[in-house]
Amino acid sequence: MGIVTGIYPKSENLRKVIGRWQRGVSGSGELDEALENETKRYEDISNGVSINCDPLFNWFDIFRPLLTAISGFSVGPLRRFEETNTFYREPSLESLPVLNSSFDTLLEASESLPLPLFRSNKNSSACFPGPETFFSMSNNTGNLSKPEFINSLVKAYSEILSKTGRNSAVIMERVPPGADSIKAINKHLSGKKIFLYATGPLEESSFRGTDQKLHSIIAKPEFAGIATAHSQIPGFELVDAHNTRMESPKEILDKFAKLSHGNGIIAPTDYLDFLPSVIADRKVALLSEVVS
Amino acid sequence: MSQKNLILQEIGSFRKPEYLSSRFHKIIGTPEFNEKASKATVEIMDLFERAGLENRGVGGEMFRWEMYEHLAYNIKGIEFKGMVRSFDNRYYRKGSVTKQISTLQSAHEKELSFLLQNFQGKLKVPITGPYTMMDWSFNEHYRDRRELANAFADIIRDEIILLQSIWKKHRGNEVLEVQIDEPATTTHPSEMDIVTESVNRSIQGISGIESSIHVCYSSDYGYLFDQLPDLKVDGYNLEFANRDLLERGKDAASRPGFLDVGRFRDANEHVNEKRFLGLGVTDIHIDTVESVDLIKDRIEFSLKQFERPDLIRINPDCGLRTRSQDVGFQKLKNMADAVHSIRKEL
Repeated sequence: MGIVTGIYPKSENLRKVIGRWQRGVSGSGELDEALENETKRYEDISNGVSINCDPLFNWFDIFRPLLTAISGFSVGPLRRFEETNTFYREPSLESLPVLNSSFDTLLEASESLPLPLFRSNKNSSACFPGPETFFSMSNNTGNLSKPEFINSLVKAYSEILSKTGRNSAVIMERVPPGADSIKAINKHLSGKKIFLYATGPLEESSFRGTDQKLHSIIAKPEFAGIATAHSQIPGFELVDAHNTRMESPKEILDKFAKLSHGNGIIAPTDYLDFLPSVIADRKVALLSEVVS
Repeated sequence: MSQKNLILQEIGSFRKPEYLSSRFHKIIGTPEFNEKASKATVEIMDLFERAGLENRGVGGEMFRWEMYEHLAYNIKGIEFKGMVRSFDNRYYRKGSVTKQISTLQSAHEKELSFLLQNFQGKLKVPITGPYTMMDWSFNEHYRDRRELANAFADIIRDEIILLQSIWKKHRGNEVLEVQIDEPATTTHPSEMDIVTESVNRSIQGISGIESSIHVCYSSDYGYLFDQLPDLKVDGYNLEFANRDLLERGKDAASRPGFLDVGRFRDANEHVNEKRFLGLGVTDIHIDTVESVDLIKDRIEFSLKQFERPDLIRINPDCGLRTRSQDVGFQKLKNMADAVHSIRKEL
């Protein structure tokens, strides 16, 4: 199986439409149509990947739409996104997160593209920032307790899935998901297919005290053991999302064979928004080829 | 090195006039481009002079569009495969290094030649540094990031040698000032040794120049200051105003953005060849024009931390191209007025 998740790079056409919308030259109708067409195009090219996720074309960064959909946050200053040359708006955590009743119908949200959160069909997975990542990349202005924040946020994620009729979600952690996160996922999302996608390290200690295996943990090859031990379907990050160099199918399959014992998911090392769209399309095609 | 106190200097880019920006990519490489870029340079050099700058850089980089692209387009071995998002709907061209890199043509020769033929007085040539060029490129060819940074360093070193030869024809033994722009510095704290090695390699063996490094929006200047004994540049031109408050005051609580001046002083104490500090006193990301009094507070607080006005230069945080020409001019003018006022009291 293969997976591509997170924010997918936008085509030149969509970038231009967004630019016109931002300048007030065109209205929401043209933007909505362009987002719809782009989402359909993505669904076509990613069809062979097997685990389909919403490409989040209307997300400027992995937090901002949630800052309007969930109360308790405000939008802060620009911050560098980890060790990249990409920036995000730092969330300011003011109170414990609670899902807004009109969470998916907000249109002209501040410094964001129009919602809904997810545009692709209900069979595709939602994608959320991991609760540890959310906490660590935010400014905790409300001095919130981390375990309480994580619990409330994952509960809000669960409600979003229920209200949008989705059965699965990818939770992307860029820092090690701690025991609080694993506990919250098990508590609030136990009936859903959850893909815990760790682009950073994993720690065995996070899983102590729980016998419950997650549906899937996707990890760097060096953490394959932890992913295999604590999930039903381990995944391995074998396609470089930070380099335009194209891997060969053989290169990926050889690595997969060493890690997987025949069972598992092949994934990129991150979401593909750090690449030019034409290269991202090629990486998706490569993944489809490898999966087939 | 000049001993004048609080030298007023530009840091790099300035907003291009519409007649140049709207046609830039359509005419680059043509006589029309040279004509328009030259005309704009004359205008911005005049604007800088009226604002009171003593070192006018290269006149706001009218010959350049963007710091990475400008150098990368003049290097063989780099391919552009598309745009990469930086934030929201803003994108930049990130090149892919697909084979061994080498100079295609000088990126700065025309600009410097024009300036030297038409202007007297202090100039400073900004050149994008090897570590940033490496960090902002996809590496498809070199073994690792260090090897690629050093390959860029070799290209930059050749470029500086070429610029110095042009400089000498016009200015004789006067020192050429080169500012190595390294905004990517400190984004990977574990790679500070690569920053130091590659920047040093860029200027290795070149005498008769004054070198500085420009860094902005670092999450922690401590990583940079730790390198001070080993990093062989003469000065550090840094952003401070962006991390400061807009209210007046000369105490530490009022000037949080300038507390790092003390850390710079501490690092500088341990070296024999003292480095100068370029103090960013106006924020280039906001339209608010800081008052003369606020800028004076910032400078005077910094002077209390580092009592060497001969080793402090005054500049904007970064290039002012993000602001309108009117706002940019007023920010520079207030900066100059603040310095003139403080000099009287020194």
